[in-house]
Amino acid sequence: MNESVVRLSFPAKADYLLLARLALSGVARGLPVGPELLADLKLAVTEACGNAVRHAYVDSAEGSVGVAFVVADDRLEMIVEDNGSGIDVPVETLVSEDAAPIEPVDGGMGMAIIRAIVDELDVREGADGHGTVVHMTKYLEAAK
Amino acid sequence: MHRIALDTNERAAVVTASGELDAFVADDLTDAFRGAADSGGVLVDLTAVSFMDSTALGLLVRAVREVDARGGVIRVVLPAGTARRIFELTTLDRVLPVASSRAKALAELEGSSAD
Repeated sequence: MNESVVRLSFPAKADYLLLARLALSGVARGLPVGPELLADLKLAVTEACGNAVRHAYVDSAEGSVGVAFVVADDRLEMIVEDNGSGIDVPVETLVSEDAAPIEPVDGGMGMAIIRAIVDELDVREGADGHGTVVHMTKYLEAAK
Repeated sequence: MHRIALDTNERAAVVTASGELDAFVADDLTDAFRGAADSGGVLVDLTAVSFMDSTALGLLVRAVREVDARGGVIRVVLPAGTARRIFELTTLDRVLPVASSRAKALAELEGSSAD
């Protein structure tokens, strides 16, 4: 199994959200990802990074967002990590299937959008008990 | 990367946006919607928007509600390309007062203001 990993780290500011999309464009080159799927994945990674920027650093001015793109034979994984104070909503609420994606309330809408785009979504606390890790997996059709 | 313009010279206030709309442009979007809010008719033209996230969408929804609440009329022209996707994912393309083109939106706004 071949795996390539691309990592990006940027200050937790909205100024840098575009970087996540640019990096994704670079990663998706050569993958069986058409323009529509690429647009969906850009939306998903922006929502995850936007949540990290918006919620993770309420109390502290400085923080960073880490994004890892894992390219494997059959899938693309996007892992967005922050080391902030964590989301204040129970994780079960965020990943629940029946949360209505209509109301743009504090990150809940972003999570609903991510859930609609990716095949697997895992949201958990960071390893040291700080921050949040959003792990998204999209399975790709086999390259020709 | 993005451009947000407000034109209040026409009979309706017109907010025209292009490029990538995410949290970075939230202040610009808020200013434009606020500047348009006093007009009885508001057109939000997103035709040339190439990317839009839930932050920008949330601001749009808020603007639509505020215009509605004041008894004004608002029309939204959705992005022409893949940025339209967020409206489909959230089903807001069926809920928002959407017009299929800028010309149609302006015609509808003029029609409603003549009543």
